[in-house]
Amino acid sequence: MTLLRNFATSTSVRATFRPLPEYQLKCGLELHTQLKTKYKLFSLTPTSVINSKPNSKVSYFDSGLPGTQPKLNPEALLLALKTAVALNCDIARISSFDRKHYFYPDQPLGYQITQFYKPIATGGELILKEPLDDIGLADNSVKSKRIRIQQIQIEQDTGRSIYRKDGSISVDLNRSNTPLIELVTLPDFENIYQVRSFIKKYQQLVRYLGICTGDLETGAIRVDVNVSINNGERVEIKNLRNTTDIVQAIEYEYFRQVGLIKNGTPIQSQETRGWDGVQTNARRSKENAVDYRYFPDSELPHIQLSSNISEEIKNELPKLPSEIAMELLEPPFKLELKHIRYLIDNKVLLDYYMELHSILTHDHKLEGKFAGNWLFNNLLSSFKKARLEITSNLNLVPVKQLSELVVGVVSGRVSKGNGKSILQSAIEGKQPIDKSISSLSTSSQATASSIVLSHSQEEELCSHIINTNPETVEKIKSGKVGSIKYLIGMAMKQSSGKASSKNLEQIFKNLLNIK
Amino acid sequence: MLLRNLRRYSTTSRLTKEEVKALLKSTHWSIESLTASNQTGTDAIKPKTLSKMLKLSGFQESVSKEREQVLINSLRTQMGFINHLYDNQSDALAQTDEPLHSFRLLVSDHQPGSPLTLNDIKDQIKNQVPDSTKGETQEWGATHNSKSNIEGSKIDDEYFTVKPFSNEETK
Repeated sequence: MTLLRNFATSTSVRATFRPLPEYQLKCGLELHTQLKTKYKLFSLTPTSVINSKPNSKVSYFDSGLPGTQPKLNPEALLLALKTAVALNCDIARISSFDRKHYFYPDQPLGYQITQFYKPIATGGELILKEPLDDIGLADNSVKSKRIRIQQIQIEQDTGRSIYRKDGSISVDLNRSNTPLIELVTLPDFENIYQVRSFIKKYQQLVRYLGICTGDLETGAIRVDVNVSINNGERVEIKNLRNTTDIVQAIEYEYFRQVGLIKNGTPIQSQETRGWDGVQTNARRSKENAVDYRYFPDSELPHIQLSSNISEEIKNELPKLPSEIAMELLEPPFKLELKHIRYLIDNKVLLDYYMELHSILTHDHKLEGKFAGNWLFNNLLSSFKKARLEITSNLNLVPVKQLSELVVGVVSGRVSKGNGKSILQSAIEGKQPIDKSISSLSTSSQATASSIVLSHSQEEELCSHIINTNPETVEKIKSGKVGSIKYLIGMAMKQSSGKASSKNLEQIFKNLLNIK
Repeated sequence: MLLRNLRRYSTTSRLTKEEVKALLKSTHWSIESLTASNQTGTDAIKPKTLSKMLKLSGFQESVSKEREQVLINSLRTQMGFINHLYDNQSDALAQTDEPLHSFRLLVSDHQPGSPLTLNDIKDQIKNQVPDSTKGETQEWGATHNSKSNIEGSKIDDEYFTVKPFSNEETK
């Protein structure tokens, strides 16, 4: 009970939560994913976007007018098939649609068209791998976790209900008949780390393949979880809006069930509970479960697919994010995990990085690290400084021109400081990067010398800095060699970035007789 | 029996006009005989069953005793009729509690069509054209004919409005 109370008052995600050894947690997920199609699932009404005027994306069929009939949108079929292939599912040669009946104002047909008896795909898996995915196991020798997928089915979304203070309900049918896929996993999750990693990885996959926007907050992906302890009765939790909700609800439900087991109270069979942000609440039990009266939809023909459709789709899929991430971890890339995750979530930037890396390493025989350094340390911060969104403004810094700038800096023709200034000017629209670069390459030696200090100028500058900072020099001589960085900083500042920090360090060491 | 006869005839093209006329003239069954009240085997419909049916159908569950009996009788009649449909048809229409996996109205589903390839799906996507006669081109306003607004709200004509059930309105 104390456990429960403690948990009920918690509002933050406790990353340290691990199931107790004697009460084994088992979790399964149901994910509803809105497909990013041009039209709706069974009509050619444009799919609604955020801020669409209510009821402005509604055809006769979407509003359930009598006499209208459904016709499957092949784009939704293709996106569902891509998801299934990416997750190694078995595609059904023949699948069909069924009607799931229940009455709700935002469901104008009186039933939802779904795939109950013959779903589009079964089987499949998503493998979580350390260090890319946190699988949260105490045993460090286990490096991966396989989450099995039971099935994927295509179905319609409902409209949206807004509950008014006077008791009435306003219904917006823009979302009605939007294509969804429902993905059901087996109860393979042993802890919340795996749940969180799975959801992240799934979001990444559907975004990368252009299947869904992947956002939980906008409802593009909606998640229900089922929780059981020691293979006992399974409780389903609905109404989870984001990862924090999901994690907290599982934790709460785990401790609630542990409390019941300790007290000898049986867990209710097939119970559905809701999450209110603090605790899970009983919604439905087996006794008052809804009878959906599923039956085949007689207006929609079966989907018959060729036997090699999986192979055909597989051949057209790009390299999947998990494969790319594993490659980026290894040489010649060796990127940090946070940078890999960033690139996987931003395909435009990933392509940009790969091209920059290729030009620098192949054409200019430079080390690959320069690509990552310039992208993450200079390019991103310059866009941030200019308050510009990077992916839609990358045309301001074409990859070829950035590579020339990097080559200029690495070769010493352009100082680091000037390189950064050229980049910033290009991003802020002051001077296109190609003009700055062409002026560098065509300018005279005199112009070039005004951009970078000569060796003798650097020596002169260092002597001046030594003379004007006697206290720091004394520190360095007494053994605090690290203080040399202060002198380098001073010299860089006075040269307005025209000096090379590497050269300055060597000159200071020579002048102060430090090895 | 009639169903069987019809099926037999419908598969042959040798049926003459006279034979069709003769078939239609002869009486095999009447609606009255099939919908006779208190059919045997329909006792399963009890008030609890009716209550569940009303709930599933989205109707109000609380009805008067008289109304309840009327509805139970009606359901019994319907069940009697359905039971008749299965009479002597065990070979053709097997009565089963299993879900109707293969019950299909669409002829195409019973004929082996050519399975879809990836290119077929891509072609279909390319050739999709919204149809204004189906309201897909948004020239109509889904709520334009709406008369019901909630007082004081500026956006009500944009929504379908479902009002709470009021006893006053049913009087």
